[in-house]
Amino acid sequence: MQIRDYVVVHDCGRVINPLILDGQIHGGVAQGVGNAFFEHLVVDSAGQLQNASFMDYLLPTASDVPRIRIDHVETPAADTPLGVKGAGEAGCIPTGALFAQAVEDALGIEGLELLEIPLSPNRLFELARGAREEAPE
Amino acid sequence: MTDTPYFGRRVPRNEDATLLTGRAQFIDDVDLPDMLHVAFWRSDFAHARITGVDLSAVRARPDVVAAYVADDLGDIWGPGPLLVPPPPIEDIVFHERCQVPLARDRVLHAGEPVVAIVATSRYAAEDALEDVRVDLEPIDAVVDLHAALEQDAPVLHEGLDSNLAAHCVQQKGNYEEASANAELVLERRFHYDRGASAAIENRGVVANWDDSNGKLTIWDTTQAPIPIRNGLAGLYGLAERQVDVIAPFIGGGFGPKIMMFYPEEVVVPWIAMQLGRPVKWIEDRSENFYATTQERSQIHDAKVAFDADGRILGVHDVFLHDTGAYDPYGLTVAINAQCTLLGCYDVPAYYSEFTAVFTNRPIVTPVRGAGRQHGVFVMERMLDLAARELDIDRVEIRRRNYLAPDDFPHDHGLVYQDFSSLTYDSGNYAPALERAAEMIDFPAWRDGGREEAHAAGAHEGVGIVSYVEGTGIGPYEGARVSIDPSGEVHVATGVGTQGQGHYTTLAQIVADAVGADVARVHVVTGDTREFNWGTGTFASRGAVVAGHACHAAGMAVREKIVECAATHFGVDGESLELGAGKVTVAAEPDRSITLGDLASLANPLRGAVVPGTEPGLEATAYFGPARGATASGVHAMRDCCRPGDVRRADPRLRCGA
Amino acid sequence: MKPPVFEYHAPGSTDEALALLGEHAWEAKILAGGQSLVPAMNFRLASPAILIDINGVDELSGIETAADGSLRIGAMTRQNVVESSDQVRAAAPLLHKAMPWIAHPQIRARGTLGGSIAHADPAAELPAVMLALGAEFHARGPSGERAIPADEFFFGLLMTALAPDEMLTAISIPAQAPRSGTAFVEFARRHGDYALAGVAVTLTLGSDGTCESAALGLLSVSEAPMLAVQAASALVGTAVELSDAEGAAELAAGEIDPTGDLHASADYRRHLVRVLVRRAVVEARAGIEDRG
Repeated sequence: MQIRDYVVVHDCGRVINPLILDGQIHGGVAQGVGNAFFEHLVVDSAGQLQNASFMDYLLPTASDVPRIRIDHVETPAADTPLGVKGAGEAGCIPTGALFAQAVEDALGIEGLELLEIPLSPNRLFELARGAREEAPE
Repeated sequence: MTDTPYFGRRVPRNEDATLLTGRAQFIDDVDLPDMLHVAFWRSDFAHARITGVDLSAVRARPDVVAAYVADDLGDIWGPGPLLVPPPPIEDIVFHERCQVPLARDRVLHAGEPVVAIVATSRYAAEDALEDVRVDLEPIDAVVDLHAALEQDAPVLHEGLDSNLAAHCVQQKGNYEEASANAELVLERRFHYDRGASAAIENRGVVANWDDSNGKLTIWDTTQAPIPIRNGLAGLYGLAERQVDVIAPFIGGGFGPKIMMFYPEEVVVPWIAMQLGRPVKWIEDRSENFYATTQERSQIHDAKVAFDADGRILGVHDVFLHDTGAYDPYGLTVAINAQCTLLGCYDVPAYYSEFTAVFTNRPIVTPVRGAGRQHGVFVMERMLDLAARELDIDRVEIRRRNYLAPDDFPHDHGLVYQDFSSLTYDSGNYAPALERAAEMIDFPAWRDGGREEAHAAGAHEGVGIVSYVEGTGIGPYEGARVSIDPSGEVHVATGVGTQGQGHYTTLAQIVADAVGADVARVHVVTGDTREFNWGTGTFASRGAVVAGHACHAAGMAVREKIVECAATHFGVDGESLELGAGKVTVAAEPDRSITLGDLASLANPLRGAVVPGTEPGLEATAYFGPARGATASGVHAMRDCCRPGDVRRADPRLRCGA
Repeated sequence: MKPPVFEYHAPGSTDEALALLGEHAWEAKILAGGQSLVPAMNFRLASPAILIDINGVDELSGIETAADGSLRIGAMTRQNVVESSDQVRAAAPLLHKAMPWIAHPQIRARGTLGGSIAHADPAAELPAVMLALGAEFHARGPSGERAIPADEFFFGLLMTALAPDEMLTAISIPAQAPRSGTAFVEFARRHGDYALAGVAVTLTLGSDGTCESAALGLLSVSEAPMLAVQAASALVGTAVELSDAEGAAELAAGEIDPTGDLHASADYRRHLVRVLVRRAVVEARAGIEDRG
């Protein structure tokens, strides 16, 4: 799977420093990508974590995070003198939902619904196979 | 403000020179003479009874200075504080079960610490871990959220008859009535599984007790040094003024470094007091996977009712939330999921019910996003499925459901994580959606682009989603701004910084307020020696709440500057201009005085400071928002999946088959 | 994440290293690039009492090209040296192609060719590549030197034909035959991770344009790095068309014995092998210059 383009249009009211805000969004998207596709704490039925190292708990690396194009809309906060709103978490909030939608759209498999996060190649393989087997010929 | 040369501009970061030249002090850089090192013995079992601990071989090791179990901790042993009590929601059930500093009778998750070993080096302390003998009787582990609530499930906590940690219902309108005439009701189960916060820098605590002045200094990778100072002072029976908590440069917080009163955070300073020597504990990556809080397991059973035009008539969502072995951070994550599910949309009827569940897994507390993404996931996925069923495009179905610009402020009639009503202060969603759709070329994709690409065998896709983010919640932050006779401007605030750029953004706000050069505005965060009041950096609130406190303090100093300069020049305050570190008489540009000189004048050695005024150019101010500010946005992406494809060197993301 | 106490030796010659190894054998571990051993020690998964650090043994490094064009590469030759070697590129294009897939540049700067082979991780690239290349490993022990063909070297999970008092000193790789093509493909979650599956292929065509010999080394699909013997022999005698590649892929998927783990089920690994073998064979065939 490859992200060919990633776009964020963000509204956190009046922007104090676009440079720093863009950085916040980049980092958030990186974590969101991790959340959507890489990072998964897997435990067995005894509560034992199966991947307690960065060899098996996968964080997105620099080569796994796409270039992000950002634009801003500024709707000032209603109740404060500076009109600023927070931006600390925004980048990672919608990424899981976005991944699921975009991957579903790309695979185009009849009946395939991605209703879980995080996804992985292995899990997508299983879900795709399941959907294909259930699909009416 | 009359002039804002910095607000809104891409000002390079004040802190980068320090960081990039390796001069920034991180927790492991704190190196004190005669320092000892701590390692914790952690349970391998996720659920077990402790029947005995034998530390004789540990204590016999020459390089081991001390070893402690729960019973050695005396009065400081006990459940930690409940950091966020349950919000005032009718019929809410909440069972408070907070973590203890060292497990005494029972371990409730793998990695829960049982023994603390103090040695002359971390190597020696880890070697000694191998001599710890703890007798554990394993109990079946509770992992699966549904199974956890079954009658025969082992119960984690004494005094409870099940693993139910909390139960909460919030609703507006009547879902059943609203959905009665729906064109389409979708019903799905959604899983959102656990991840770690995985900051680059793990946690750490260094503590030093100075007997000569009765002072405890703690360096702690916390996002909230003031609450930690206050809590630990109370726990150790010290006055708050006897304890300093310093959060140095921190390599990422993301939530778990909030005021947690982690076992290590409580035990390490106590050891320093016991031994009268500095003590250090640095969490290693293996520990981090067990010892630092995590987030994200929820299972939602959702129903959404739509009319034929794709308008949402009602949402019905019942979910399980995994709170881990303890619930010291209350219900923030679950409430966030509950409240953020509504997103940018006008939802007339909403029924939301959640059950928080104790499991034998590390504690769940907010991690960046803090439950918001779970709600967004459910709602956005449902809109996608409805768009498919009703043959409406994915952008259009969102647009149709957006709150309109004149719907604000919009009160959803629910209680939010900050206990105030879930009210969106302002918003205008359609322009961002249109812009994102245009940037990702959605119209062309919708109108034939997708069919063409797929016909040519390219497994390409486009996604577009929207979300809101509740930010800037209370209770308050404060800041002190002072101008030094050298002309340097000092700003101190109580929040911590973990990479957000506060040294620059807060400096910009103050520089504009007092008319200083931003590079000469020096911000200190996260050091109780510098500022005594505040809560911390979390919930996307630093820029909003601390930012406004800085603004208020800066404006108060501005008033003093103007008053002092008006007296100095013998002119009216209105006729003065501030900027570039000086005050100028607008009509006479050669009459000006630097802020530094003015600061000297404001602190005279002779004469009198007029009663009712204060010396110096300094002011402290506080800001407490009545409610948060709701941010929003749209993300869109174009992706490509070729099943079984091979990774190749490519600057773009390839993450699977 | 600190290693337990160990005794450290840094011999200056192979003889000295072998003497130490002879003395301590089972208790000792040879430290080459340390990219697998040191993390294992820090996690306390490995706790050798004695570490014999051969990084100071200069005679174990270097790449020589023999008169027949074959290569002899010292076991301590760093992976990034192999990667950028013109000799390797000329004589063993498959090895050259595979090198960038090994972890990350930082790891290849420290990791050694021999270290990775002697560690014999079934998920590592080099063992599978060595199988496909028909390499030979030179080991020295108390009774002198012996040569072990790659396909007799890997036994099981992290197990090799090396005796506890023997060490790997060099690797011989035959020069690639004329009218040969190679390919290396793998699938990993992120670049630099151990692959979920991977294939190294060598194909040689005869004068009639049909496949004269073929070798397929597979990684991450069984207890040890392995050759897909049936798939390779099925290719011999064919013109290596797409259908032949598909046939070989099907056979390869049948002769592996993958286990499921955190990242890939056995089924998914089989699926990946099917896809990867097909692609690798097609790519190797397309790379043969003289298609006559």
